[in-house]
Amino acid sequence: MFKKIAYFTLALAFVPLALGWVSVPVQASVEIGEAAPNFTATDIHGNDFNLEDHKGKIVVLEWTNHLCPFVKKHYDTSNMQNTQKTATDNGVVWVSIVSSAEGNQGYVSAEEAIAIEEKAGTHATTRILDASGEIGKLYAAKTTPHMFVISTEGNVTYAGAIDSNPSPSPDAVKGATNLVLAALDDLSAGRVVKVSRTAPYGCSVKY
Amino acid sequence: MHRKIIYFLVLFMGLISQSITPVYADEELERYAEATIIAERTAIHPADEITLAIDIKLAPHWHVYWKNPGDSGLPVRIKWDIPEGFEIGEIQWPTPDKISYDILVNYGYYNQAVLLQTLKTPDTLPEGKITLTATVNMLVCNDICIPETSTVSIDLNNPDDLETDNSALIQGAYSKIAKPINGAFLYSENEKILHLSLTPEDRTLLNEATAENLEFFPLDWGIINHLAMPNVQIEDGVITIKHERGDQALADIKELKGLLVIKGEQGRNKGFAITALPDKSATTPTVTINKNNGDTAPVTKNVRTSKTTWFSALYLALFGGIILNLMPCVFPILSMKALSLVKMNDKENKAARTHGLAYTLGVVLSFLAIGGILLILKEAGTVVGWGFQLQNPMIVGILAYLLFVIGLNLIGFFEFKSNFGNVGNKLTQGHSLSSSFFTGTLATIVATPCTAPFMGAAMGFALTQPAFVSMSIFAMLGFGLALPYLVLSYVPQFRRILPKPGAWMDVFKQFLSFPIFASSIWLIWVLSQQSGSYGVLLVLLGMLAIAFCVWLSHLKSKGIARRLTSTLFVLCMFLPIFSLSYIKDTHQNASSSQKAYSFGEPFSPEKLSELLEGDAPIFVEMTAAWCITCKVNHAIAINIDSTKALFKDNNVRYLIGDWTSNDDTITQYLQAFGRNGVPIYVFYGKRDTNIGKRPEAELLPQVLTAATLQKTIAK
Repeated sequence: MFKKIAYFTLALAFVPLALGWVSVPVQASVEIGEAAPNFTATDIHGNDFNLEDHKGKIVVLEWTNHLCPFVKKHYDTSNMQNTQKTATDNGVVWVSIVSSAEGNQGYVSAEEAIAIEEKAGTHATTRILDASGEIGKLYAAKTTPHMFVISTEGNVTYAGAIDSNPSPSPDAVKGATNLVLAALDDLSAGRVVKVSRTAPYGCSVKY
Repeated sequence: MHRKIIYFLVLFMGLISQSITPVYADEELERYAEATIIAERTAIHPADEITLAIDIKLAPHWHVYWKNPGDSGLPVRIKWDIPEGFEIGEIQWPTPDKISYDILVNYGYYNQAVLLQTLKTPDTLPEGKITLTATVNMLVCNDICIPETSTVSIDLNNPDDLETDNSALIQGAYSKIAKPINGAFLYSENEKILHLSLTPEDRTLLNEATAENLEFFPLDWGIINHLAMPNVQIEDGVITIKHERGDQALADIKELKGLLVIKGEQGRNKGFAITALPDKSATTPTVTINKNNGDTAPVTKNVRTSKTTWFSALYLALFGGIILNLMPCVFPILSMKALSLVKMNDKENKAARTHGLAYTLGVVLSFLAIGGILLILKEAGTVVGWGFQLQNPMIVGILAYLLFVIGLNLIGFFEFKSNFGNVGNKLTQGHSLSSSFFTGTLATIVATPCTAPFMGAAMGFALTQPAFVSMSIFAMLGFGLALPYLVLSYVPQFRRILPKPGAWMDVFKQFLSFPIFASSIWLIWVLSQQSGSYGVLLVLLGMLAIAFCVWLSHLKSKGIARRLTSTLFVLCMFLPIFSLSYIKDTHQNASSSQKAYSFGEPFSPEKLSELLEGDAPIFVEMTAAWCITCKVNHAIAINIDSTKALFKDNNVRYLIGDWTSNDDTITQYLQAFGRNGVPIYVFYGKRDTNIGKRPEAELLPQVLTAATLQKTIAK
């Protein structure tokens, strides 16, 4: 019995050798069509979120800052909530991320974040506070809003603006093409995402 | 109860929304930008052309954006309301400042921005005054952003107004507008690098531009990565700029517009507008590596963190710990410990188990202690890595003494019977529980420098994690080291494999003194690298004193002779410590260690980045005299004829970094690869002439073979 355990342990120990684990090339940042960098975090409700756990589902990352005029534009017109609802109704995991550092605009406690979500009537799956900016920098998130769409295989398929009209004016929502919904449509129809990279617009992320 | 919580939450939310809303409202009320409109002159004629200026004045520290706002923000937008027949031209922008904030880079203006547009009048002018109205939409930002709108109008040909002439003011504004220049401007792209080959005809630009002060501001989004620094070369009137590419595909673009900017103080950048065309002939550009490519630490670290999970690090640590048992310095001590088990019969199973546990505890606690010290040093800002203990020649000396004494004991030169030697007795064959505990400590102390294969990644991971994760990895490493003995002590079946006790044990014990002496010699050699021949002399004298001491303590003397030997004994106990205190770390400025390498060049970050600019493949070895794995790898895989030939045939540049004594630049290099100890082998493949870029740097296994090198380099 003990011998068996000992052999098993020894065999197990050689697995990394066989897999060539030790040789890992050095890599760079987020690219369209490449694997979305994994991250783990605790959401505002205290639940663990691990991106890898959601493979098999489409994941949307939304960088947000409730005080940014561009974010307000999309929330006050319910454009963001409607987009979230359409997405999550179709099984998409929607993650809102706040990368504002402590002391900067948009930095909130978990309680405050819950209140903000309730007030806005969000349909996001969860919200993560990233005050260290670690996740933001992992994705090179530049603006609020800045959107990322990750395919069921875990690859980044869209990165950029929420829609095609970069304006702080609420009137600009009408008539603009919702680029996130367009990407989700492409994905659910099994097509390659046509517009996969756009210039994100909005306030800078307050790292 | 639940209801109470809900009430509380509602109340709380109310408080929050109250505390947030007014702050924003205040900011919305206060204005940070104000636009006014200025006409070159207010009297106009039919088929006339004048310049209009939108003059934006900003509160201190606030800015508005250029046509290409950069990573965030929005350009200023002007909507005109003008009578029919009038034509307004495109906005002419002053040269912006580059505004950096963390990972974001923007282009914009502080204090004041004067945007110019031309107005063409129709062939017939309407009667009376002509009113022009502009709605100026601005995103005004400091650390936060506020959209502001100014609606401004001006009357031309107003019979009630005096004619005004602002041409001097407009001329002043024109001087800040980027000046369009002629020349041959070509662009091409290789992998992720934008290449600009520019031959301007403008003398001012060529006279003032240097590789240090010149930058390229593209007019559009996604052309370059704004955060990266350009690589600029100016030679014989040709400016070559290499800049990391942005996110937009260049394929759809017919021409590339932007500014060549000679950097000045805030608001004093001098811009030259160019339009570059695709360079169809671009085939083999020579240099593509960005200057700060060598310093990729943060990016690498992020990637590494997501690759090595806690679990796999724990598992690697356990495996590394088990491997440590085979190290020549650890093996004899463990063998002695195992011998004590041989003497135990089955009835003593319980005692054997408690000993096993005490030993494990000793090892694990010692690892935690060393790990703790390492973390504290790191926290205090010292640049340290695993194996740091051996970077101090004093500690190397003490370890050499310690092994020497153990060796003397094993070979039978003395038995620890006198009152000073109890520790040694416990170290090897004692039966008290504390002896087992201290055997664990000793094993840890002598084992740590032998950074075993597979431990590098785990250690690197450990030191970048929160303290409890780091400590759990250190503990697991210790557990791995203790595991074989623990298994032996817990499972009598395994103990039966061991031979029966007998006279052979004394012979074996004596034999074991030799690997111990060998380890001691190795440490003295390490010391010779750190402190030179003088250091070696001091430690050898110390050893002589120790041997003399031991001999003295065995003398059977009486009366004055006894008092004399006692005095001498105290003196010679003091000598080794005294001699150690004179050891100096001379390695830092000594080049002698470099000479020990048969080939290769000393590593320095400057040297590496210099070589990276070239085309040849580069092999970097990080080693230390006290690192056995490093030495073995060097001897069997690198410093052999076939590898030397391999390097020569493939024109490999070979850099060796010596971490025997602490060297911050090497520690930082290790950290860039997520490591905290040596050895580390990195291969930078040769530049692919088709794409003008090097492949990604490759981290080779810590157990290096000639075959691995052959495969990596010759592929």
